[in-house]
Amino acid sequence: MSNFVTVDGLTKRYGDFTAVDDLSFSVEVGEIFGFLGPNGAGKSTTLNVLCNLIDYDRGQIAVGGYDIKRDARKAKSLIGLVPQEIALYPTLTASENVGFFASLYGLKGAGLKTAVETALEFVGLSEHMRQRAGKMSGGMQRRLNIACGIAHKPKLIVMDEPTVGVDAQSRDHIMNAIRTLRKDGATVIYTSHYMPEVQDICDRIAIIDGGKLVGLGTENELLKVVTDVKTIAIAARAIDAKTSGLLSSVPDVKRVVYDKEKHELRIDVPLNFDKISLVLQTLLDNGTAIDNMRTEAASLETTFLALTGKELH
Amino acid sequence: MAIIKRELILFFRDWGSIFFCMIFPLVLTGMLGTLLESLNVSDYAAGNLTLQYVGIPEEYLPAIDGVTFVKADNFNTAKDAVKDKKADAAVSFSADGIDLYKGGDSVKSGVAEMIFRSVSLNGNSGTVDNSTYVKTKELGYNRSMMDYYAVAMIVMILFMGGAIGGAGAFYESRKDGTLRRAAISPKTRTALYLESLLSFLPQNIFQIVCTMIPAVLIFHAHYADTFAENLLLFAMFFVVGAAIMALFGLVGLLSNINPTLIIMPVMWALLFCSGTFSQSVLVSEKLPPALIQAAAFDLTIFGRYDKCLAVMCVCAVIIILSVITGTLLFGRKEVTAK
Repeated sequence: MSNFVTVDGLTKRYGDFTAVDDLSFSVEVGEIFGFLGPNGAGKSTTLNVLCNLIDYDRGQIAVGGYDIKRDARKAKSLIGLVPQEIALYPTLTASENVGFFASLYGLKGAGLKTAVETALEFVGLSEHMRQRAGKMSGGMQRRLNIACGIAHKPKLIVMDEPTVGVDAQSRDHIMNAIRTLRKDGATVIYTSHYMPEVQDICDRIAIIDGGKLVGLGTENELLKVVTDVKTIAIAARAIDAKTSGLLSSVPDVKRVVYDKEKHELRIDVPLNFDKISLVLQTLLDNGTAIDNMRTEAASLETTFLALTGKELH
Repeated sequence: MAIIKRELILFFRDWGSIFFCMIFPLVLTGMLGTLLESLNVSDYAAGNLTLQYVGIPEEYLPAIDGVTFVKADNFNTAKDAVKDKKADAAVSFSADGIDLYKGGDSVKSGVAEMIFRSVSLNGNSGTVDNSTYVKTKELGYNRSMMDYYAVAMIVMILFMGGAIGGAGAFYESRKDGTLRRAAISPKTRTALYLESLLSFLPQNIFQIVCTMIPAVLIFHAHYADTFAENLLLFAMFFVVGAAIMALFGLVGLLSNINPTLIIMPVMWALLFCSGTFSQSVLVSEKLPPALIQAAAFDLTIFGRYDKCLAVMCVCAVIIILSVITGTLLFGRKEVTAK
């Protein structure tokens, strides 16, 4: 497969602060590329540079074979941005919003009308095309936000946390929409703070921290990075903060996370962990009923933590 | 065109904009103009005056058409005649000077006062120099407070609407990310910036037209005498509005706090100090709203357009400098980054 996006030695400084430091990666044609990093890692700066929204100090970036500086207009015409914030005009209707942003890419007349209708249909808002954006629910606004970014049929879609604050139904709709976009030939760069989403749809994932690339590969490749950690998954109800704190203080325990929805406690420990009885005793002493227990290889979250020293959330 | 169309839709769907830029100035024009009209009309028909007098022989009285002097027995009987509305004023000439007793009709009393002030100034000569109290009328027709407010309100809209609109549009677009979204399109930044500025101009026209036409049709305000002068007046307002929008567009490009919070009080203070809503204060005549109003009145009342053209030239320079600066600033990519 050929590369659709190439970032080579990208460096961006703000005064003495280096936001992105000699960053290199490439995204293949038709790939959904996860781009992860803790807050302040340089993610937004990289995406802003990629979309030609800010200048950079060093390096080379090409989109669809066009240099983002030399052939800015050609490169930009290939890009569609779905920003993290709801970048819509609340008093314009859904079709007016989509139509306005699509028209900036040179679409007009019947072509524009078709593009608007197709984009709204794609995100499931055809029936709401005359509804004002400001009157829509949060989930619908998110979907409209996507429609505005894809109406001109970009070859590269940059999605910056497109599912923030949406309900499960809208999230599923958005995830399916992204898969369809890829099926239609688009290349997607996707950022999220929600790891299961990234694991679910991304072909490859890049993890950056401190402006540097610290991990790049498929989910399985990244999981292999952390070989000395395993996860104990315990199905247990009502784990409070006090119990979590006590578990964290057990020697050699690296990380404790309780998923309230799944009622699952996940404890990252070294491979040679020999204090499992201490973990169980702590739970029992605090009145926790244990339904099930298993051991797993380290998760992507563990890998992220190991690579960056920070949680993704 | 897409940006202009979008701005027009946004403007007409925002009740705040409609109210502030169109309804509010019109209502204010009507209210202030109607309330103050009776206090400050330049031409009154005073009619014939009957003045009772004591103290001097008839031959020393000034001869004025429309004024009848009736000799009274004494000043008290003259005053009683005024109270009984048999005379409009009573006057007593003596070695100590002239005493005037005015009646209830403020217009007739005012005319009587002017006559005897003039008599006094002319050393009781017995003749009256009309030019000392009768102004030569240059206007052609009656002028009222309505006409003043019809101009003053447009100046107010241009400053308030232009400043808040110009700054607010760029600030809001930066804040909600729509400017960032537009900036990643293949359109050049210069084109985006210029189109954004151009998109304000139809609003500018609407603001002026929607104040001028109803002010004339509903409140019977007068602007200039001829169509050509009115067109020039409109052109001046248009250029002034464009200059204010261009200038404050820069503020919106750079401001990290809502510029309305700063602009609103500053503009009110500027308009107040310029005499738009107040009596003139020390610096009034030097402030832009006062200069623009003066140019407008010079055109509408006297048909002189020198000041009007000067205002337009200054505004054109402001527009050019603002557009150049704005284009350079907008070209700095960080302006549109998150």
